Parts: sequence; structure tokens; C-alpha cells
Amino acid sequence: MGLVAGFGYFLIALGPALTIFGSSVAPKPFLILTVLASALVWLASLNIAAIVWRAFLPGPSWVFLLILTTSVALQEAFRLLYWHLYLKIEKYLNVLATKLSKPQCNYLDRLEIALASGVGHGLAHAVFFGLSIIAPAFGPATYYTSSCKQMPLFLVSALSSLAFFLLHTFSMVIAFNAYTYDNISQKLFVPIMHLGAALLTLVNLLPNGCTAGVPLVFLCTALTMAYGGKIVWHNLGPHSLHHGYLHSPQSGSSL
Amino acid sequence: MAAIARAWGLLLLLLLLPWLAHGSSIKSVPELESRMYASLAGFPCVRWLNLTGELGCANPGHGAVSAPILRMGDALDSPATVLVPAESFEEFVDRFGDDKNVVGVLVENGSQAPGFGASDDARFPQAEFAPYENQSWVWNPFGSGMMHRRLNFPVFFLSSPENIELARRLASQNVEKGSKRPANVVEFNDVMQTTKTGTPTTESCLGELSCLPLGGYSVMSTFPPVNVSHPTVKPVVLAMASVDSATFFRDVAPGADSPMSGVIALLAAVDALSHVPDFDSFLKRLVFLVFTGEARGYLGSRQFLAQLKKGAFADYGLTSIHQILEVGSVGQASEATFFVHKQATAAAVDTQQIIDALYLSASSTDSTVKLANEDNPGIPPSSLMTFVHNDPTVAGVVIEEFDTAFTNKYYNSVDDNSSNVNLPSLVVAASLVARSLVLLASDNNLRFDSPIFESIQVNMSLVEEMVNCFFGTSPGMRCSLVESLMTASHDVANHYVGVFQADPSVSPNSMPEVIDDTTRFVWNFLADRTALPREDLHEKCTLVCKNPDEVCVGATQSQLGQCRVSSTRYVPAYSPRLKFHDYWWQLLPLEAGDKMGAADPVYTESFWNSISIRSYQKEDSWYEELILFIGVFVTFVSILSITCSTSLLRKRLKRA
Repeated sequence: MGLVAGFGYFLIALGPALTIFGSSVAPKPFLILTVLASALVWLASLNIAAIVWRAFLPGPSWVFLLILTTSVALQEAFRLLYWHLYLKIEKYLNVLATKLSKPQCNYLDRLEIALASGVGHGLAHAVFFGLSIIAPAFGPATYYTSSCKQMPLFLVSALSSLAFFLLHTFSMVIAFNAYTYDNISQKLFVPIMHLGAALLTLVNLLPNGCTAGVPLVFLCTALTMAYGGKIVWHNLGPHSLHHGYLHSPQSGSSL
Repeated sequence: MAAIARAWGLLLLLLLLPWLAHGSSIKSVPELESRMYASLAGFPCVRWLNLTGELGCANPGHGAVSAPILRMGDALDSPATVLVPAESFEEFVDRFGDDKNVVGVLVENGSQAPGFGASDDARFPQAEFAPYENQSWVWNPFGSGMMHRRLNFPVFFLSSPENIELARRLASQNVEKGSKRPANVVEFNDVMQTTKTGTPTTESCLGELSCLPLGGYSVMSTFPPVNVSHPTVKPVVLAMASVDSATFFRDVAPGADSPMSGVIALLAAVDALSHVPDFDSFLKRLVFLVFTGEARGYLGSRQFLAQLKKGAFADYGLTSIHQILEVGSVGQASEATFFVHKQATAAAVDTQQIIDALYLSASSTDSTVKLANEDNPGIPPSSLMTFVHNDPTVAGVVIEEFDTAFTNKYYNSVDDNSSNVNLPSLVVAASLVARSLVLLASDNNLRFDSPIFESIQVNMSLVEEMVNCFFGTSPGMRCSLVESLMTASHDVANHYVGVFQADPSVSPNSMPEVIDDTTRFVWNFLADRTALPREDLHEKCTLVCKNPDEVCVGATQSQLGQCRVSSTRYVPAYSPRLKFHDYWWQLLPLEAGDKMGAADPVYTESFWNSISIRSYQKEDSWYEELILFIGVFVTFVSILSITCSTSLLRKRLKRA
């Protein structure tokens, strides 16, 4: 019976990720490379945070606050680094496209790359924080933490993985837009939501906290998704600032 | 944005509340798994087989089984693991032994009520081997016969208080929760190879290589040692005891009073005799024998006699036996009174000589020796039965602490532990045996006031140390007495016979790993105490010595042994109904007139991969199916959302 629940938790955590990957990323090899690159960058930031914080663990619980805050800050710094790397690569690609008489990157291409980068961040997060914990759920036993008797640790973990996957995916879309148009509020929105969601996971440590912690993280995700959706919707609309930029005869296909 | 930032600030403050300091964290996935599964240290009952079928217990199928844990007395209306107090186990098996809802049983060790007795063996243990007709005699009043029953579910014995406490807590939580999930379940892995191969008898399982016969090694030592190159023949007085116990649970067979008290008394007697000078001048030679496998078909004594008939001990000057003194259960003699049991057919004169020797010795040791009640049907269950079957006139007696029935309330039970023997009784018995043996060796020609007779003093601290080594847990077999002679492979001694793991034609001295710890200790002890004194330095050794008269004594992990002149050897102990041929065991046809062979169940023990029990929380199957449904639903919704949003964005793009 462990397999049934194990697959259930797996699908909750990674079902949407696999769906997005299968429908929007997998058909384009460049996007797969983007996912891998993005995941590597995310892992590098996590590694650095882990190397630094390992010296202080195990420690008192308030250390988690510092760990989360600094790790989120580091990851946001890496997001900025990633953006600059992307800009360089896009420049080279545009030069190459010109030489090959192909169209240059347009908004939709950049949107897809942003999405794939988000998927990379989200997948890496889900695999390292979700899948590793869910793996024991394929055995016959379940496990409840002392602070959460309402749902198994695996369900909390699977739901958190789902929430963070979506949050990371849409955050990257917002971030790309924010960096492209130098929009301050969008630039602030991403790290604040990321930090908020990260800190809200600490609510799970409260007695019965998971009943509030998990929905609150999902609230952050929902806000991020709505905001990201709104930006894309607006950018694709008839009154978009980059109206002409949208219409490319072979939008995205060159990639 | 500023408003959102303020809200997060507020939340941050909330998180800084003191509860945060109390959060417990799991630091790794292995740590998570170790919290999910609690291993219970229990002792299993395993599957034994004989010529007619199975006994003991095992998982019913090919895989692990699990069920929520309950305590005996809770409603057994669904599959369950039942926690049963030891004193109620027999009652439980009688009532629920065939109940399909019993998935497994945990038997909790506890303090027995005063006057309570428990024995897993029959009321007449191994009655079929008795050399007399009356097999309904009750030698063992507390016998339940449990170890001869067959159960189709796994049973484990929990001995440590921590494990019992954990099992009780899990059961109580289940009762409190009622039907609320998740349940605390116990998973049993007690899968036997004979179940997998469908071989329910000794003959079939040996044919499919899914079992091994019970057996081990007995120890024989002559005193004084014999020059094996030029053995001289003298009348032999056998002094014997048996070392193995048998209980329902394979690995908890302390056998303190029955039969280990006899071994301790005999070894202490040998130690006392080792100080007697000029033993070689006596008319008779002593042969000490410590049999194993006696509780499971008199394997040791029967194999010994089979080999004696083949002349296997001619090198030791042993071709016939003159007299036998068997030391039975002597650990709890009341008022130092011992009873001498003999078979009515025994040769009168030579048997009377043994009895006289015991009488004379008793008078010098403040103990009393009485002849057992004449109404007894014959000798009690003992190795002597084998010798009587072989020769009804054999001059032999068994010395016991009881008259008409066992006084040991825990014969072949997990409770026959150190608290079931008392030191003075063991010391007096050892003294009685030592003096009787020296008398018999001298053909009862020693005077009561002989200095030799007076020089025999039993070392009380040695007896005490042996009790601690054999039945204690700390240091147990790591005690200094054992450590000075050998290195035990287990911390705690278990006196279950085990299975015969080697080729019986090969001397096991070079492969100590196949020999049981207690047997190995007995061998080293006898070799050490019966060895001839030597003036020059002993040759060092690890396992064996070049000189055929010498044996390697006292080799441990930290020190080399010494080659010493001693006629101490291992004698294979396995059913004479079996033959080791072409690297495997074969069942021999029954020989005409072989009464012991006809009675022999020929016990075997099934192979297994690993045996374990663990507890964990388990969800109901409906909940697991719900989780899978949610997972599928989430995935489906995501597919739908992507399809819809892509379509919507495309439309918007076209309009733009």
C-alpha cells in the first residue's frame, strides 16, 4: 500500500511540474538547456548557503529564521546574476540570428525562457526539498510530526513543494519582466513573496501550525501567480507597450 | 508594496515568539526513516520440522505481515497484533490459536506471580524415549507442551522493559484512537524457507535444501589424559551432564537449573579433582561427557553411543563403559537433599557401588542422598535413557534435586534463569559428585578419612562465576573466566542446541565459529583442568597443535593458546537417523530394533533470510487511495489549466 500513497504524494508535488515541463519545455531543446542551467544556478546558491550555515547547525530554532532570510537573499542575488548572464547570452544569440538571417528574440521567446528558468528553479526546489522527503513515503509507514497531527509530513512536504514550484515559476516570469522594464514594484514583489513564503513555512513548527502554514504559503503562491498572470495578460494585450515586438513571423521557433 | 512589507514584518515578529525555541527538527532523511520505524528487539519463535510435520511458528506466507497492535483482552474483531503477558500465552493460544484475526503475537516478559510455574515442554518430556512403558507419568507438572505446538502466525518474545513499554504504549494509543487513523502497526518478518518451498517435513525439507538438522558438538574428556599413540584400557566411569535447553523461543533458552546446573556442578567437580595427585594410580579412568542436543531427541548421547560402537574412541582407551553417574538438575536442592534415580534393570552390584559412593560422599559434605521413590516408573528424562536403551543392565544413576516430579517450575522455559538456581545447592552437588567420582575411580577403596578424599574442595567463587557467565547479561560471556580461555561470539549465552553447520567427519577444532559458545567454553575448561602438568614451556598455538597428544587450550582474540597434553575432544551431536553424504544430509532408513531411532522425531530448523519486527504508523488504505486521487486530480487540473491558459493567451495574442 505504500506505493499508492507514495505515487499520490509524488503527483501532488511534481504533477504540475511535469505537466508544464512536458507541454511547454520539452518540445524545445533550448528550453530544456535553460531549465538545467537555471536549476544549476539555484543549486549553486543553495550549496553556498548550506556550506555557510552548516557550521551553525544543529542550533537553536531561531537559527532557521536567519538561515531562511539569508538563503532567500542569496537566491535573489543569484536570480539577478542569472538575469545578467541571460542578457549576455541573448545578445550573442541575436548576433548569431542576424548572421544566419533569422529573427531576433521577441517577447514570447523571452517569456518562454523566463518560464523555463522558473521551472528550473522550481524543479530543483521540489526535487531537493520535496522528493527527498517524499521518498520514504513509498514504504509502508507514514509519519506525523509532533506539531502537526492533521496531516502527514509527506503531505505537508508535497503541498509545499507544489506551492514553491509554482511560486518559483511565476516569480521568474515577473522578475524577467521587472528587469526588462526596470519596474521597481515588480522587482520588490518577487523577493518579498519568496521570503514571505519561506518564512511562512516556519508556521508549520507551531502546534497545529500546518493547518495555517500550508494555506498561507499557497496564498503567497496564488498572489504570485495572479500577479504574474496579470503581467503576461497585459503584455499580450492590444495596448501593450511592446506591441510590435510581439509580432514576429516565427516567434520562438528559431529557438 | 509598502503595506505588504509591513505585513511581513508583523509576521516576522510573530515568528520570533518563544515557541520557536522548542521546535524539534529532523536533520536528514535517514533520521526521518529511523523515526518512522521503531525496531523492536524481540526473540522469535521459528519453524521447526520433524518427520511428521511442523512445529513452532512463522509468517504464514512468503512476505512480511503487519497489523495494528492491541493488548490481550481488547476486542479482536479485525486483524491485529496481540500483546500477551507471558503467563497468559498458553491460554491465549488455546483460545485464539486458530483465529484468522491474529496476525502476530508479542509475548511480554514480566515478573511471574509467586507459585506460578511455566514450562514449554510436555508433562513427560520426550516420553517416547523412555525405557519403560508408563509414559503418562507426570515428571513436569507445569508442562504446557507449547514447544511442540504449531502456530501459523509469528510470535516474538519481548524481554527488555523498554520494548515492552513501547509495545504497551502503541497498543494503548490504538485503543484511545479507536477507528481514527493512523494506526500503530507491528510488522513481522519471520518468513521461513520451508514455507516458501512448501516442505513441511524433515524429509522433504532436507530434499529441497531448505532446512538443517538440529545438532552441535558434545565434549568428551578423559581424566587422567590418555596417550593416544599407546592407549591403555581401564574400566571407565562416565560422569555426564547435558548442556542444551529448549524453549518455545529459539534464542531464549537459559536452562539454568535444567540442565545447566548439572554442567556447572560437573565442571566444578572436575576443577576440584584436578588438584588430586596421582590420579593415574587409580584402578578406573574417569570420562567426562557434556552432551548437547539432549532436549531435542537425545542427539548427543545417541550419537556418542553410535560412535562408541564404531570404535571411534579406541584412541582414548574407551571401548566400553563400566559405570555412569549423570548429574541432572541440582541447582535448587531443598536442604541439600539429592535423589538417586536408577533403572530397575540396572546391574545390581556395580550400580550399588555408585550409590554407596554417593552415600559416603554425602556424609562428608553435609548433604543427604536418598534413593528415589520406588513408585517412579523408572529414571526421569535424562541422557541415561539412551544408555539404558542400549544396554538395560548398564550400571548407571542420575542424581537429581527431585524425587517423583521436577521441582524446577520453569523446566525448558524462558524463566529458567539464574534466579532459579542457588549457589549452596550447586556447590554441595559439585562436592558430592567430585568425591563420588574419586571413590568410584578408586573402586571404592578409599577410606573415609583418606587425605585424598579430604583434599577435594570445591571452589565456590568458580561456581558463582560460572552462574554469572552462563546466565548473566553483563558481562555475561565476556566474564573473566570465559575470557581467560576463549572469546565468545555472543555477549549472552543461549543454550538452544542450534543447527549442525559443518561436515561431522571433520574435527571442529580448526573452525571454532561452528561451535556454540558454552560448548567451546566447556571444551577449554575441561582441557585446561584435565591437562597433565608440564615443567617446560608450552608451545603456543592458535587452533591446533602438532603433537597428537596435545590440544590448543586458551586461545583467545587477545592471546595465543598453549599446547597441553589433554584427551579432550568434540563429539558431533546429531540424529543418528541422519547421514552427511555428498555435502548434504540424508535420512537413513530405520534399523530393525532401533527403539530410540523409532522414537526420534529428527528435528530440523528451517532456513530464513532475516528475522525482525518493527513498528510504525500506517494509514488506512482509503486514505492512501485518497492521496493518490488528489495527486491525479492536481495533475489533471494542471493539464487543464495549461491548455485553457495557452488557448486564452493565443486568442489575446491574435486580437493584439
